[in-house]
Formats: sequence, structure tokens, C-alpha cells
Amino acid sequence: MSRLGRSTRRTFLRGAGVTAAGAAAVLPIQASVSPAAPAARPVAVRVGPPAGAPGTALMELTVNSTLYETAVDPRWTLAELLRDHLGLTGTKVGCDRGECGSCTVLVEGKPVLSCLTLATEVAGKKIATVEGLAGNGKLNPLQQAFWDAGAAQCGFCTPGMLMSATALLAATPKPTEDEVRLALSGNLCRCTGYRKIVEGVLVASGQPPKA
Amino acid sequence: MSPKLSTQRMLELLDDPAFALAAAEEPDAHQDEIDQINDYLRSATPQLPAAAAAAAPSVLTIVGTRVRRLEDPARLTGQAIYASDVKLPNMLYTAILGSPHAHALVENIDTSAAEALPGVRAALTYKNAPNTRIGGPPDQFLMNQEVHFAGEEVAVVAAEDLQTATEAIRLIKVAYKILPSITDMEKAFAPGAPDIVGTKNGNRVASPTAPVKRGDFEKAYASAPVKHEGRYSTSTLQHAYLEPRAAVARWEGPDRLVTWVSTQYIAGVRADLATYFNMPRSHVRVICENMGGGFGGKTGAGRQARFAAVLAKMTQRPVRIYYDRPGDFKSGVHRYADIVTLKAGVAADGKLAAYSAYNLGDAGAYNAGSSALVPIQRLYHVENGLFEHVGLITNRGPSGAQRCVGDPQGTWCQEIFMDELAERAGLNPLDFRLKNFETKIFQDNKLPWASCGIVDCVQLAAKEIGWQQKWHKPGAKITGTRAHGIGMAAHSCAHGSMGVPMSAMVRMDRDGSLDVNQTATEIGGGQSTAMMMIAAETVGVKLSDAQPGWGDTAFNPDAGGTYGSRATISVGSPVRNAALDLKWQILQRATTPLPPGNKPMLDAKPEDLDSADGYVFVKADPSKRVAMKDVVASTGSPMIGRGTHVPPPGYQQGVFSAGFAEIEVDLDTGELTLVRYVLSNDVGKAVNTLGVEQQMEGGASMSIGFGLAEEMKFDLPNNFPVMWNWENYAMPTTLEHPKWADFKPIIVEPIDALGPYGAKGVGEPPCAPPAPAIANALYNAIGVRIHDAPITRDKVLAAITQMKR
Repeated sequence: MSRLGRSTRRTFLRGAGVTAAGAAAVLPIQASVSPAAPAARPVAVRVGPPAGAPGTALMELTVNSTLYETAVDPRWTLAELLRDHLGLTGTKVGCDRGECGSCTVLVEGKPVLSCLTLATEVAGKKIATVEGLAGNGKLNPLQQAFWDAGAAQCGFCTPGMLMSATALLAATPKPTEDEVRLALSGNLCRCTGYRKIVEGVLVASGQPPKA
Repeated sequence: MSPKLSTQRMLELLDDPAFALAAAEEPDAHQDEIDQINDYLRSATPQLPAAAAAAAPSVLTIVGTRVRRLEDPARLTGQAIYASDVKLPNMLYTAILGSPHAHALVENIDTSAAEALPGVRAALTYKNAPNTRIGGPPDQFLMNQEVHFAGEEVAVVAAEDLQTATEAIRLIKVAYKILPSITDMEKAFAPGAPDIVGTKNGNRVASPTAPVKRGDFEKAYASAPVKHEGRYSTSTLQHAYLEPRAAVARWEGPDRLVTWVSTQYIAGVRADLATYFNMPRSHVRVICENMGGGFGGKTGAGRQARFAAVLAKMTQRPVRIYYDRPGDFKSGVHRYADIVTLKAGVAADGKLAAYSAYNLGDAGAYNAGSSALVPIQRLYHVENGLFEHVGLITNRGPSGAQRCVGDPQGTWCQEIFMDELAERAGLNPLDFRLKNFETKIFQDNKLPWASCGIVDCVQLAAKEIGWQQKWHKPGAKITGTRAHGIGMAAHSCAHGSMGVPMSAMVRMDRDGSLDVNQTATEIGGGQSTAMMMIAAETVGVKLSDAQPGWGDTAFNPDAGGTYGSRATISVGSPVRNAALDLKWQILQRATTPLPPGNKPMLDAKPEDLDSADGYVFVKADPSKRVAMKDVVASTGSPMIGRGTHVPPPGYQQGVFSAGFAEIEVDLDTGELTLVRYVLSNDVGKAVNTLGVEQQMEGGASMSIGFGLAEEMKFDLPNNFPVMWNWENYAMPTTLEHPKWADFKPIIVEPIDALGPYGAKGVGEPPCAPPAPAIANALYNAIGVRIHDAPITRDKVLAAITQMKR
């Protein structure tokens, strides 16, 4: 078993290669796409199983501006890493098979189903979850529009809806209603009939719907 | 009529969560018991003093407004904790093995290899599970050696992590003896069908309703100039709440259990678990702050809360159970399928003369089905009728309540039938219905409706959608390959009825803030906010000063659960009474010189005072006022208002709704597009208009799925469900709904004689009309009828081939 106690990228890359096969498989991705480490490195939050625990690989990822260093079981999904190991339970799991969209998070700004993404796939990447939307305890404009419109009922699909809508508005600041519906069509909701969710996104884009 | 109940029997029913549920969801079937119990309670329950009751505010400033929901910020920021989010130190994870057979005997189950896997801490099977009955017939236990549906749990493994538990499941060896199974209720009912659970009664189970006979159906039918008969059916549906069933349990000693459960009724789970483990209820704490939807599928402890608690006891570790989606779809309760044969005669004046309904209902694997007859007996006036329901056990999985239990099925059948009757009688479907609505009384007990807004519902929605301009002869508006159609449906049910138990507590702390305590879980319907509005309005404080008890049995008195559209009326009533009790205490305190000899805070009689915005003031001179917080603080302790409620006699609760659908059908592809949907609902006084709209839109959405796409199908002859995930169980997305401006809720507010401030329930009735309204619009578009839900594209294509073109 390798020694993965130190928290540099170099030791991760070297160490991961001799741990579980699942972690080894992630190496090329890690090597090819991970951004360069920031010049002034923030202190990483250390979570997860002890470094060097059998069958785990050490990796870093940034979630909502916090850099985490964590040993991961290569069988974990990103949803599992976020919810059970980083304590970020705002991301919900409604099906664990990519059908409902409740687990949608942003990976490098793009909406991704975290239940269909292995934790090791996001090594070195920037993740945005619902917990990162509000700043200093103040709802962001999209959350505020959801609140005003009554877009949340049971609230279980809401984090995924918010993240899909965030990605939409980043790419298309003034979407049409059809574009909103298409962007959210992978996010199931059983409570609302979607009307007030669509309204919330349109209001957030500065285009409140007219009766 | 049920026999006269003894006081002992009434008290047993009042203490039984299963009765509370049944009374809320099927009030018509239990009307006689409810009436007897209410008669008893009127003498046995402490009533609010008349002076306190008279202290209610006469002008409403909070109830009836549109407010943002106070439970939302936590949900919008990811801070809301659901049972499936709870992770306790040292917690074990679980995985479940379900039967691959629809009906089988587990001859042996070998868990030794699973238990030998490092990290596995326990394996629960029929061999080591408690043998306490939890339901049936057939007798149902937590683990059953004879399984009655595909997916029924045969083993649950608890391990250090989810991966180990999942791996362990694969190592379990089960020897099954396959037994005969049936998923088609007509086959279950046919002579010579295998007796799948030993009812020795042709798979029949006791119906919740006895046959009802009015007047002389046969005679009236024989002499009616217009006659019609038809057979209609609905499919088995999933609740498809977004949060699968989940529970986390922790034992804090041999007789103290704390559990987080995704449930609609925390006090019911507490009672269920206390009985199950034979311990005092006060030693069981059930917590459900937030839950990811229920729709009737999470009404009691179910198996999930018991699995978690039993495994936690076996291992002496906290345990989380969290169904995966296939597991939830297979072993969660389903909306049962119904087949209804309707027959009616219409008199020369266009009025219903005779009406009969024969309803076969699928009671599922463990008999929890119900009747679809409620709307059929309520909505239309007819003097001569026959109404009969037959419940049948099948191997379709457990049946149970789903939003508006039984009634969307009845309304699907009735409303397509009424359209056909109207056509035979030569009347416009709208005019025919308006001519026949029963707007005054419930005919089977002659009591007046506590409120009835059906005529307004229908007329306002018809005007909004432009019925008079848009309705045309069937198949008469085809442009190229596009056929236009418009259809309507109306609905009545017994939901939103007053139902036991009803208790609540409203406390004011010394700073003037309000805690409002009761047990109906905030399941997404905005119940918490509505209760805060009623409490704040009644006590006279700002809405922002009130907070709910957030789903914890440790400090919330049993007010029943959130089901049967009951929260607004059955929880709102005791909340209002508790608030009045508190307010009266404050008014008395403000006018009482204490200690003797001192002046009172306000020199007036308590009945001359009122309160608003946190102040008590003299009605005749509002400048004479004192802050409520100072009145409470002067006692040195918080003040506690207690509330119960028993409805006054002499009324029948009823809720009414209507829906109008405009569609387009592509005659080449069979694609049916719901272009516009207008829905109206009589809600009594709307407490929070935003919350009412939410319930209406969401309810309509479920019925769009019911009408157009959703159905559980079974692999024959094995009777294994083939629709056990969202990939093939087609729940509507953003794309299957009309545009924002074309999906319009209309709130109708006939003030209710029974509800708090005239309010009544709204959760369920919106989810009945859409499906039959769409079916009627399809007929209007192409002139061919579809009687069997859902209207899938293959059925539309087949119907198009029958068009007269």
C-alpha cells in the first residue's frame, strides 16, 4: 500500500498509481485536464477516510471555493462524496441512476449528474453546489426569484433545479420560456407542475412572464 | 350503518393511527363511525370558553394574503435536512434484497456468506425478524416467508458502508418455491382463479363501502328515454415522490428510540413503533423536519422505519435505510387500478334519472385498496342509484392511498361517461353538467354541504378558456394534420374533512414570539406557513414572529398527519383554538391587577380588548395599548394556549374542482399536445393564495401524467413489474405541461361553515379533473373515445384509424 499522507499533487499522482485499479484508471484524466495548482495555495480541508486507507486514493477538488483534500474510495459517486463525506447534503439523490436530476451540480460550470459521476473523475476540478449559491446568508437573485414565485414545494428537486437554471442563465442570460423548459427538462419535480419553477427562472432573468 | 360503537371501541379508534388515516382519506366510508365519535367528543372534549371563542379577530389581515413560505429559505440553500440526509456517528448503511417472483415461498435463505463479508454487521430475514403482524390480509410481517409481490423485501443487510452492504446482498442464496400469481384483477375475480392468499372468497376482500341503493334504479332506468352504459379503467400508478423512502434510527438505551423518518405523520409513526417494540410512546422520538414528497405513500411507519429500528437494535449502532429508486417503485405503495362499469338513464328534460356504478378495485398484495365511488355518489343529483364496490387481492405490489385516494379513478370514469351521456341527450357537455350538479346536499345522508363552489368553478374556468367559442362538434376542427379539441371535467370528493385527532399548542415566549406545535408534517404543501398564518392572525402578532414545531414528536401534540387534504381544516382548527386560548389568557392577564392592589396594565374588561401586531389594545380607544410580550413577561414564564376541536354537527364536508383542457393531436404521429389547461378549485377561504396555487398546479400535473403516460406494466406470465424506474415510468417533465400563461389556476372561495376562517382543504381535488378533461378533449378532436387510462400514443394512433374522415 502506498503512502498517501502528504497533500501535494505530486504525491497524489505518484501514489494513486499503485492503489486500487479504479483509482489508477483516473490518472490520465487527472494528468490531462486538471488545472494548474494556484500560486498561493489555500489550506486544504482534509476530509474522508485516513490517507492510505486500503482501497482509497487521495485527491483534491474545489467545492464552492473551498479546496478539499480527500481520500476517496474509487467506487464512490460524486454525489456520495459530497453528501456522505464532505457533509454537503444540499445535493439530493432521487434515483441514483441519472433519471431525475436532483443531484445536478456544476463541474467547471457545466451541469453534471453527480450520481452518474465517479468521485475520482472530478479530481482537481471546481464543483459548484447549491450550498455555494447564497453569499453571506443572502439568497442570490435566482434563489430569491424561486422564493418569490413559490418554486419550491417539498424542496427535494430544488437544488438540482437551481443548479440547472444557474448553468442556463450563465450561458443564456435572457432565455425564452421554451429554452427554460428545455434546460430543466432533465430535472423531475412531482410537487409543482413546473409552472412556478419556470416563472422563477424567467423572473431571475429579468423577464417576468405575463398572463 | 355500522352498529352503535361502545365508548371503549371509540377510544380505541381514536388512538389508532390507521383509523385516523382512513377517516381522513375515506371519510364517506367511515361517516357513521366519525359521526358517532364526534357526538361523543362534543361532550368529552374540553371546549373553548365562549368568551375566548368570541375573541377571534373580526378583520383578517394575514389569512387570505399571498406570502412567501417560511420553510423555503432552508430548502433553497441546501440547508434543509431530510431523513435521507441524516448521518450519525458510527452509522451503518443498508442494502435490500427483493423477491424476483410475484408470489413465492422462501423455502430457505442462506446469509452466511454475506455475514462473513468484512464490514457486514447484520442480515435481517424472516428467520430473525420480529413476528409482530403489521398489516394484511394476508397477514403481513416485517419479513414474510411467503412473499406476495415482485420486489418484496426478503433480506436487509446492514454494513459499515453502502458498497459492502450492496456486495453482501449478492452473496445471499434464496431457495424460492414459486406460487401462482395474478396481476389482472378481472382474472383474480374470474371463477376458478387461484386463491392467491387464501381468502377462500375468490380473492375478494372486505370493501370499505357497503353497496348503496337509492330509490328504484331498474324502474327509472327502464323508463328513461336516453340510456347509456360503458366500462372505464385506470392504471396502477407510482407516487414517484422525489425522495425515496428513508429512515435513520438510533437507540439511546434499551427503551429509548430516536428516529428520523420521511413521513407524513410523525405521531402516527411514533404510535406504530411504540406498539411494535412494546414501549411507551413517549420513549419514541420521531423527527421529520423536511420530507421529499409523500402524496399518500408515506403515511405510516411502513417497513422502512421498522427496518431501521430493528437493525439498529440488533447491531446497537445507528442505521440508515434509504431505498433506491427501483426498490421504492417496487415495494412502495401504489395507486390501485380500478375498473368501473357505469350505466345511466336521462329523462326528457336532460336530468339524470337513474345511475349505477359497479367498481372492481385492485386492493394490491396486502389489501389497502379503496373505492372509486366517492365522486360518483357526490357530484350529480340522481334519485335512483346503485353503487357497489368489490375489492380484489392481486400480486401487483402493495396498494395504498395516492393523492385524492380512489377519487381520480372514479372521476376519470364518471367524467368520460358524462360527456357521452350529454351527447346522447343532445346537450353541450357543460350545460348537461350544470343541469345535473348536486349543489345542496350529500344525497346519501341528506346533510348540506359545508360549502359548495362547483358552479362557480365550472363557469369561471369555462369563461377563462373560452368554452363557448371553442367547443365544436367532434372532429370538426382539423387543419392539415392537426386536430383541435377541447374538453372538461368536474370533480367532488370528501377530502378536506374534519378528522381526529386534533390537538395543538401555541406558546408565547416572554419576548412575544410564537411557537406553534402540532404533528402534521410539512410535506411540501405549505402547511407550516398556513398554520403560522392562522396562529399569528388569531393571537394578533406579526407573521414573522411565529415559527412551527418543525416535525418532532418531542414537543408537538398529536394533530394527525398531512394527508386527506386535512391539514388546513383539521389542524388549522385546533391551532386556531389554541391561539384563541392563548389570546384570552393574555387579555385576562392584561386586565388583572396582580398582585392584589396594583393597577392592571389596561384598565378594561378582557372582552373590550383586541390584539394586533403584537399589541393588546382597547377596542374603543386603540391608543390605550400594551405590548403582548410585556403581558407575558409579567408572568415570568411563557404562556401556553391549548387547542382541540370537534366539528359542529349538521354539515357534510365536500370539495369541488373543475378542469378544462385544450389539445392538439397530430394525426400522422398520434402526438397529443396539451396546449392549455385551466383549473378551478373551491377552497373555502384561501389561507395563503400562493400555497393554494401551488397545490392546484402540482395536483393538475400529477393528473396530466395519469391521463397521458403513467402506468405500471407487468411482465406476463411472471407478473414482474417492468416499470421500475423513471426511464420507462413516464412522469411528466417541463415539456409536457402547457406554457406558463396557458396553465392557469382559478381560486373559488365559498366560505366554509366548518373550517378555520372558512378555509378547507385543497391538496387533492385538483388532481382529478385533468386526465378525463384531456380524454374528452381527445374525443372532441377526433371523434373517437378512449376509456382506458393512460392515453398513450399507441392508443391515440389506433383511435385515429377509426376516425370518420
